[in-house]
Amino acid sequence: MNDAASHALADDDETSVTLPSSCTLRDSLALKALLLDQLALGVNLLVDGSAVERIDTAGLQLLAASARDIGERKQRMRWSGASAQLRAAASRIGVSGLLGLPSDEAGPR
Amino acid sequence: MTIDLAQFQDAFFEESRDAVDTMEGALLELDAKGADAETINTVFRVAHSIKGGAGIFGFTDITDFTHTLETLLDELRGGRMALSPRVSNALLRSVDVLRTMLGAAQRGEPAASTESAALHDELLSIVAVGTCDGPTGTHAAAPSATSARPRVQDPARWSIHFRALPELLTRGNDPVRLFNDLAGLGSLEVRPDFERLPPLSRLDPEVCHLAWQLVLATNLPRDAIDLIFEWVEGDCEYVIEQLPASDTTAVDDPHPEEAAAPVDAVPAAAAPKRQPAADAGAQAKAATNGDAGSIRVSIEKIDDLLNAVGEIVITQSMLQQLAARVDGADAERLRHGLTQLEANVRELQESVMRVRMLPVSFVFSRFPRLVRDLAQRLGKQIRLQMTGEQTELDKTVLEKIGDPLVHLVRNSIDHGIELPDVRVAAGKPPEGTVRLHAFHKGGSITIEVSDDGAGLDRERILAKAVSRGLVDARDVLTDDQVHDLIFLPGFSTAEATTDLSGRGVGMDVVRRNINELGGTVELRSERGKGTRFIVNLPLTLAIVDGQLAAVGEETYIVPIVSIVESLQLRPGMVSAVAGEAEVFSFRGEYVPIVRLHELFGAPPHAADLFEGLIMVVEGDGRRIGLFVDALLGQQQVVIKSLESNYGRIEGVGGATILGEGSVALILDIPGLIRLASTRPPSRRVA
Repeated sequence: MNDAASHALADDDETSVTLPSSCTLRDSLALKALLLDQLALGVNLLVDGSAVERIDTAGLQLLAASARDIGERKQRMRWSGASAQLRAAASRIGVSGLLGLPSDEAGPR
Repeated sequence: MTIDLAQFQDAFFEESRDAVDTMEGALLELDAKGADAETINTVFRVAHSIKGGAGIFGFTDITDFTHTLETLLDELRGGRMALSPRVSNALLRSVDVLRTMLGAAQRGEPAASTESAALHDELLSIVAVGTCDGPTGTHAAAPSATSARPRVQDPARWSIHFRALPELLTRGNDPVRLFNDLAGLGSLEVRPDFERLPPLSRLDPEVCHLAWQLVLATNLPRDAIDLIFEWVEGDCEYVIEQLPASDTTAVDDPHPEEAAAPVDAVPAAAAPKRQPAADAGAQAKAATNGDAGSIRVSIEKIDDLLNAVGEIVITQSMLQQLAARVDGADAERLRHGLTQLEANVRELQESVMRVRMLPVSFVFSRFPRLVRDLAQRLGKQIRLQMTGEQTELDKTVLEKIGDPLVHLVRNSIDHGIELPDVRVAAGKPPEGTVRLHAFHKGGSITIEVSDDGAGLDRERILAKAVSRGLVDARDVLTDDQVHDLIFLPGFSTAEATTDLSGRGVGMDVVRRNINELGGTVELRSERGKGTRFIVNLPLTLAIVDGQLAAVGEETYIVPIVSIVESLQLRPGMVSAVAGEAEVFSFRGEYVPIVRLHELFGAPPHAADLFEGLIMVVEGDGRRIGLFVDALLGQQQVVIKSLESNYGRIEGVGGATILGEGSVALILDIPGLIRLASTRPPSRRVA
């Protein structure tokens, strides 16, 4: 990943994670490790995707798998922020709903 | 099956270099004519093809770079970004960076560099700005490909089932981009299928585990959809079916992933168009081989073949000489057979020679970019005209003529073409013209580099030559002789040297390089009207049509292309100029006499000028009368490099083996003229 992603406990039952600016195939191993670390905590997940400048299917697929895993544990994943690029890409391949992302107002191009 | 992909790497690099050349040509076309969809598509295809190949071989830096390049091109293609000078320059710089990256990767070095990283960032920044701003200032206001398209009452609806194969992502393909392209055709509804998405802990992040059911409403024909899927052929399964007009099936569930469309929703009758990439080797081959109508063969193999043919020519020549001495009933049949053999061998030789021939466009293709960049840097307006690009020339000659031609073109741009205001003041159009023209002339090829610029300044050249002691101030020189001075080592008349062509180390090197190819360069210039360099080159370095000349026991071969005339001198025709060199009058000019036996120390049979023959030969615009004992036959000879088999000899271009098995030297006439001019002149008059 290009940027150092950070995470911290938001409160007792929620952990937060900041997605790096690049969440592409090239960054996918590191992103998977980051998300696995968070999921291992077994709490709700607060994701900050406001810094995401580049994201592709590989990155979205990791987020989708995380969201589904969290959902299956009856926990929730919510967003403190999501960049336009992130929302547009997620909407384009139809994963906005699973991710619980705010809708991309401009709509996918 | 395990395939060693390394064996395909060289082909990948070779193909990619060709592809980058194509990309450069298309970008220059875009630069000149503005954005047009077909040309952008061409560039996109090239970038995609390099990305795919780089992905197969694991050159991730190249994959990443071309991926971003593709993203930018996609923005252009979709009309979401304007082709501004910044975009145009960045795209052209991408060509340079890609060439460097490919070179580094081929050498086994990291492909990424500071330069590539900086340009990559710039491309990303352009994409980011373009995405936000669009061609008209704001993306929201920018007409998208969809909205710009005229609406038709009932667009056709297409059901597309798309499932990624494991390699899709690592081959540089991305469904986000793919669906963006589809959305550009009309209205796209997307329903993902997460059925095969494993838990995060078991997920291979480089494999796409998703499938999609899409519905595309578009007025465009099916071909437009197929064209988009062409990019992912082999990396996915997909089925495209037109929905009946009454079918209103839509992906209208706001959370479609919770009710993922079953795969069997795809009509059973429509067999999936499966393009499994089961055999990576076959994929690599397909990616690098181009069309099946041609194969790539290394030049070494062709040269081996050519050498073998050369040996056959020599053997056949020996047999013919032997046959001439054979008597008896079968002698005539033997000679007839050998004549037939000679014809067949010549045909074989010409066929092999043709394999080595490439069109001059191989070299010319670099000039549009060169002229554009230099003109931009110097603030000049220059139009490049190229003709005769399909004229064919030997590959080795072509490779070696590239740099001298670049220097001549740079010289024309830097020193020839004037600044626009200077041109206008001189009554010329502000835009200057540089012309490259190639054509066959006899058994050789001529490439002319001309401009309609200021022409050479005779007085400045003379003044410089006198100040450097190259000529005497009292010498009377013709215009051609003055112009020829610029080919002297270290000669430069530039007011200030530039990094283009004014270091004064150029023109002599240009002439030397061309001479080393067995060619010549001449210059014609007219003050205020322009300059023309005329480069004459042999068609090939492998064979030469030669005139055999005898000097004592030795036989020399003079390239026929250099011979003006052969004659026998009579008493009274020879005189000495200023009591120095022997000369004779030939077509209104005095031509110096050079005794070949004196240059090479070969005892002659004819020491007297009136006993032997004079061959008037020409090189680099200068003539000499070469004195030899006698002329023998003419024949095509196979050139063997003396330099690689023995060493370099001034005035000798190579050697060959004659029919009787003896070795004969092939004269390099321009070199011989230079050599003769450094020797003390002959003072004997006859």
